[in-house]
Amino acid sequence: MTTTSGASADRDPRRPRSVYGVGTEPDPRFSLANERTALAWVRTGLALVAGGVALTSLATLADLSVVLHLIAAVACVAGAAVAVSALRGWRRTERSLRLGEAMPAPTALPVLVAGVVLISLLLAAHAVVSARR
Amino acid sequence: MTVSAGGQGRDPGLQHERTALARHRTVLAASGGTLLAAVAAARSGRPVVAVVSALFALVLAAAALVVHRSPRERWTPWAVLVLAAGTVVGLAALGVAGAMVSILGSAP
Repeated sequence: MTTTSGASADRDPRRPRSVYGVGTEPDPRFSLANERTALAWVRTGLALVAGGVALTSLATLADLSVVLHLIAAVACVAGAAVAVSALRGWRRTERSLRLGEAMPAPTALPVLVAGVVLISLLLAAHAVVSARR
Repeated sequence: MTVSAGGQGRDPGLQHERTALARHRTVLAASGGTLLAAVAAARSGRPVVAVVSALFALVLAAAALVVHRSPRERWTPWAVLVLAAGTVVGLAALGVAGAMVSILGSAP
C-alpha cells in the first residue's frame, strides 16, 4: 500500500496512528463527511441508551415487571454497541479514504438492526403475555 | 475544487460548518442524555450517582461549546468521537447497572 515517507508520517501528530500513519491526505470534504456520519451513528446509539434508561426508571417508578428492566438493559447494551461500532467504522472508512481503497461495508447497521429487532420482539412478547394474564 | 484546512466559509457546501454543528449537537445530546440519567438516578434514590451525572452533564454542555468553536487541529475527529461514544458507553453501563439493581431488589 502507499504510505507517506517516514519523515512526514512522524510529523503528523494526529491520533490514532493506525489511521494517520498510512496513505495520503484525502479531500477534506470526504473526511468531514466521514466524521459527520460517525457522529450521527453515535447519536443513534445514544437514542437507544436513553430509551433504555428511560424505560428502566419508568419501570422502577411505576413498579412494573422485571422483564422491562431486562429489555431496558438490552437497549442499553445495543446502544453502546452501536456507539463503539461507530468508532470502528470511522477508523476503517478514514483508512480506506487515505489508502484510496473501496469503502468498507457498514458495521454499525447490522448491530442497530439486530438491537432494534430484538427489543421490539421482547416488548411485543411482554405485551402479549401481560395482556393474557 | 479544493478546500483548505482552515478555509471556513470558502466551501459553498459549508462542509466545515455542517461538521462543527454535527459535533455540537452530538456532544449536546450526550449532555442531555447524561442529565436524563441524573434525573433518573435522583428519582430512584441514588443521590451520589445523580450529583456526579449532573456535574458531568454540565461539563459536556461546556464541551459542546468549546468543541464547536475550536479549530479541528485542537479537537481532532477522534477526540470528539471518543468523548461522545465514551459518554454513550458510560450511560449504557449506568442504565444496565440500574436495571440490575432493580431486578435484584425486586427478587424475593
